[in-house]
Amino acid sequence: MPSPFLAAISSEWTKLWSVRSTWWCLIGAAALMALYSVPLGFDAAEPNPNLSHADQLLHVEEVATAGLLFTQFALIALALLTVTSEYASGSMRTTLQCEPRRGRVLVAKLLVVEVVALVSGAFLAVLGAGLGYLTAGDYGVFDVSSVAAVAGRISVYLGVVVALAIGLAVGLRSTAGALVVAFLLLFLLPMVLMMSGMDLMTDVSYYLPGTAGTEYLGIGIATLFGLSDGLPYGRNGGLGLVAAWSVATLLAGHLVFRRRDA
Amino acid sequence: MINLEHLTKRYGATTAVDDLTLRIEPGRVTGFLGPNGAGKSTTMRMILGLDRPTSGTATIDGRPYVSLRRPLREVGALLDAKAVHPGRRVRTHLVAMARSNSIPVARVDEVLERVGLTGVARRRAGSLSLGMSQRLGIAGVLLGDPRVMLFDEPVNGLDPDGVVWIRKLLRSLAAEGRTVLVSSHLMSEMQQTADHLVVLGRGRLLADAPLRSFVAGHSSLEEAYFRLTAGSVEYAGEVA
Repeated sequence: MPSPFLAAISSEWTKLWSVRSTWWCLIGAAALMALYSVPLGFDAAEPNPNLSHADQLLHVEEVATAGLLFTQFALIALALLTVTSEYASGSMRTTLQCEPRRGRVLVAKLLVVEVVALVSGAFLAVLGAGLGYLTAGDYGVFDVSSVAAVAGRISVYLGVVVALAIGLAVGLRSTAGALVVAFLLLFLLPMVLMMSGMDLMTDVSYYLPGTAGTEYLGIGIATLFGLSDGLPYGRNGGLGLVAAWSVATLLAGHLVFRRRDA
Repeated sequence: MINLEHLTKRYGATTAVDDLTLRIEPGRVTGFLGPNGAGKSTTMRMILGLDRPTSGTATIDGRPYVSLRRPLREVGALLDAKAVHPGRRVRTHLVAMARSNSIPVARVDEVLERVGLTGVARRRAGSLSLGMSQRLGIAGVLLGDPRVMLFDEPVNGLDPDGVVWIRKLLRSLAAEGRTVLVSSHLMSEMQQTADHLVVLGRGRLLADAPLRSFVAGHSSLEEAYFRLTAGSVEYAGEVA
């Protein structure tokens, strides 16, 4: 007989794949990536007489990383729905009747979602790069080792942000609430703070998970605003920082999950 | 056997369950009665470790629920029939529960047959009527073949055939020596189902007695209940 922990994972796996929202999120992620990479490829395929051929080349792994900026939210939705849909329907109580050790429930949900995030990260990277290459005509550059490296980074990045999403979900319980906070932390807030032009705000923005995570991915939000010189960390530092956010959010979520009545 | 020792739950200034000490014995159907807000559901949630008592303890055969290794094999509970993910299919809902406690999946089909849901096993849970959802909840209780069973208002939404069916089911489960705790507001139904009664009012224990002695001297369980709870009704409407 499998240990209760393996049993909890098996149950979460069954639950994840038996609701339509999981499939819709994955289809949505693939569609978003396609919507982003195909126009970018076609755009690159148009010759620009003002640029040399070399300057016009589209390194397709960059298409995948840039597309991930939006695509990630489909996977974040998938992750937090594993928790918030149970609060919405009341079935969290059934889950906790099946496994009353709440830490174990949280870890089982996290592990199941991590598998999905890691696999779909690699898939999305190849999809974005592949579609970019197919549509970029003479200007597409598909370097297998570069694409593979980016695929690995996207997987790791998604693995980290879905953990953040699950931490937010157990802390906030509401789908909309958790999704909004995730969007603010990973996307909107860093941009708004950087746009403010105030030094203090910019300094704060450097430490938000969105800034740190995208720096690791290689499409840093700070770089988009021409602020990357001020960043107090590099690529791996960015990963460490966003991972620290995920761990802190998970721990806070766990505390709330354990203490509150279900 | 369920054992409650000085079980208390406070939400801010309100006391939902007030120093409840009680033993719910196996081998009989214990009816759990009381007006809305009396603390029945809160008590059940504390027994299941879902709500944390402010003080006191609730144990099942001497152990708190949260310490049970495969709890569905020891305690089955139906709290809210509609508390299932509406998009998940009936059978898959039970399969996920079974997996969590290493219960063979073949058992899922057995309990579906037992509650009469085999024909709708592939339907999504959200498409079920309340009566069918109650049957699904009862299937969940039976799944692990537990010795202790809790049912919160299981009769709601059942058709007349279903009402008779659950009455017989509860009686047979108790006859097998299980501990069966059933809450209900339907007095005539309780009179036909329960052997023993526990009555709460404003979180306090008002009665813990065999059905027969509880009803003795009154024309019916309903009358006896109204006499007992007259001072404990919190939410009363008016008759025009």
